[in-house]
Amino acid sequence: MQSKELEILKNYIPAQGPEGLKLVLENLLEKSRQDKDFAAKEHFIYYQIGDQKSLIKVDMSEDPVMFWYFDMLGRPATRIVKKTIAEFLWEKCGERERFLKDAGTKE
Amino acid sequence: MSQEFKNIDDAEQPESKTPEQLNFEKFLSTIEGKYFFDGGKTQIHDANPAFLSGADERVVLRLGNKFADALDYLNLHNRENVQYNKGLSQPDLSGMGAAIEDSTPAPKGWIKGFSLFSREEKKPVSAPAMGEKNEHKNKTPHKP
Repeated sequence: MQSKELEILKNYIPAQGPEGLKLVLENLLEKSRQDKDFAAKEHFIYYQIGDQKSLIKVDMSEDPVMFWYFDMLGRPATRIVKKTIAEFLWEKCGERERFLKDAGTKE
Repeated sequence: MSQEFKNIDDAEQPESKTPEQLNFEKFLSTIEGKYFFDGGKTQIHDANPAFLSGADERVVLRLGNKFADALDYLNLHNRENVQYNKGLSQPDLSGMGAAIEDSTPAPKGWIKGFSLFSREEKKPVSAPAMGEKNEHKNKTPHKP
């Protein structure tokens, strides 16, 4: 377990700012769609902008894609990080269609 | 660190009023707890002791606004495992990011924290069922 965890940390993916995060997520999604074994793995992102550093876990093994976020100084996730992730879900993961379908069902 | 602290990329963006963007904003407001789980809202004394323990592990904790409480908790539970920052006798809040970067081996506590989360167990580490809440309260506070 310990070695596994260390291995995970060694392999975190750096992302610089919202644009970098968006790019990393799109690459992960593309690889996950091509490779089920890759999709089944836990993916860890090291997000950094200025002195803000955060760790993000992504689970793409099934829909919906899920995210876990830890700011290294204990701050809540920023609005831009949440927006970047929401945009990814909305545009790339079918959440727009799901949202509109749900909205249509409720009406 | 105050509650009013603003992160660097938290600048205001202009609001949009198109139906598409209104829908997106509605979606954005619902992602937390459904698609997105924020450990940054977890207080140290709510953390799962299992997350903090481990004799051979150096643990770097997210200290947040509860710095004194966090030090108190660490002193009681994981003193030998606390990741100190570059020769300082005590952890330094402003240096925790650097401590994490410099640590060798890597700060396992964070990853261990992540490992507590799964699709089946979506609650953050602050969930009462996963922690022994306020366990440190009656202990002597840490004095730097």
